[in-house]
Amino acid sequence: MAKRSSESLPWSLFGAGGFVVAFLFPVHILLLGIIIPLGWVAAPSHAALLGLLHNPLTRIYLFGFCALGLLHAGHRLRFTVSDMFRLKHLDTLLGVLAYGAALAGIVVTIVLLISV
Amino acid sequence: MPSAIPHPKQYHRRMPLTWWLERWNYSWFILREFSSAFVAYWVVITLIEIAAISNGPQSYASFQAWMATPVMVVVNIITLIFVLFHTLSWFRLVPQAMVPRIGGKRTSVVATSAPAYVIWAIASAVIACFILGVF
Amino acid sequence: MADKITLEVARFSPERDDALRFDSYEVPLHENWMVLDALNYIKDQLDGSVTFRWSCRMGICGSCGMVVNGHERLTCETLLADYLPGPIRVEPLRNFPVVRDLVVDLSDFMEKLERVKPWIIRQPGAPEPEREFLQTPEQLDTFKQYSLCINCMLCYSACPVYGLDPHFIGPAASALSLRYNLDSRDQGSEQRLDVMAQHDGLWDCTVIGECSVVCPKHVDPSLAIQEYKISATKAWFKNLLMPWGAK
Repeated sequence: MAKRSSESLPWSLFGAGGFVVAFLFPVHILLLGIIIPLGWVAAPSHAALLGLLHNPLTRIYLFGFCALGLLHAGHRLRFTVSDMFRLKHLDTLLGVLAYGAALAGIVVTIVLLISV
Repeated sequence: MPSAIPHPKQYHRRMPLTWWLERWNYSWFILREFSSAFVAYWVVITLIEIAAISNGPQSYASFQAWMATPVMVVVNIITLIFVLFHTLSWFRLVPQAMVPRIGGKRTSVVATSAPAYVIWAIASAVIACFILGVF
Repeated sequence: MADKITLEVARFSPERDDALRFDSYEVPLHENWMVLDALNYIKDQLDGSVTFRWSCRMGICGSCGMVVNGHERLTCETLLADYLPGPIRVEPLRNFPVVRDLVVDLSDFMEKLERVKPWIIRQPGAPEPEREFLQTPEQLDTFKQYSLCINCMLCYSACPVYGLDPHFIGPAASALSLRYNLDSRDQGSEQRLDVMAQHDGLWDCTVIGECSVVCPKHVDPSLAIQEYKISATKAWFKNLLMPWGAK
């Protein structure tokens, strides 16, 4: 009997990311992507946002937000590309590309959050 | 003596590349999965915003101006639609798989997704307060 | 109501054909006739060569699954009148090799069904009850829905993942595998997890959900697979973090 697959690991990250995206992404997009740019509420000042970013808890929150979002997207796009274009035989390559891109994004996230 | 009856062949239908266009439910599935591309896009925007804030008031001001352009607002509205698609389909499917039955009885989708909506509302309100500087 | 309706029936003769073709037949339209009744009328009165499987004609044996106007149905439960004015296209189940006309080769599913060990497994040396195993109604409710599968294969026909990757263990086998894991009399979860926690086991599934949509018995195999993924993941982390636990 073949050893059990370790797919459980990327899948748990995908699942955690799915919850982070479901709960947190809509309000971010609504406020920062639509309502504030359209001027429907007063934009927070640069000083206020910088102060928020300096808080270590904010940085941990944003790390989770970005890292889990990227891992979720990478996992899902790996399977979607494979399903849409009948590329099941290239699953390993797609995995390397998808998680590689996610990890690269996570490195950028860490660098940016450290150097605020 | 060799058999006079040839071995019958079977017909194998190959899945066409357009399989996901053949049925509305399949297309819906692909759209749902594609929402993750918009998730990745929003992470990139978030990282750009963090960099803009870090680089000082002027770079933040140009970031704000860019986000206020009609193209960006439209893209972000589409992004929100797809991410809401993710949220609603996630709440319909995942909580019930996590709690498939209570005391032997199968749970309903409504019973398992309702707490998720409550958490979503509270989390959104809290985050909005942080972003808008209420706290 | 009209008194006739046309059926376009998929035909395939392995001796002569390289692909499916369609023959049209006009059948009487009775308000309580099912597609299966129409097929039997065709075979009895119009064209004896039309070949298809059927048995109980009441939705319990799982023999008469076909694709009717692009959707998986048990033809014994599918009213002709629902498709007025017609025509009604009847094709064999998808994702299985076609043997002749509407008959498909199900041996792949049979192999997979046996592979998931769909029977009560007791550990050697486990105490046997003096009479039968006792089970409360609550314990039965835990797995009952998954036990209602009639092996009709509509879910395999509806599943694009199975179409793209014939190695995928598939919806019905997964639901039946879980049915035994959840049965209080069973002690074989670990053995079945060895089979299911593979790349072409649970992990091929991308939650399209069409299997649960077409299931005539409301088994909800999609939910079974997602439940199973969670249970496989818990087991994986437990084995990773606490490898000393006895298997």
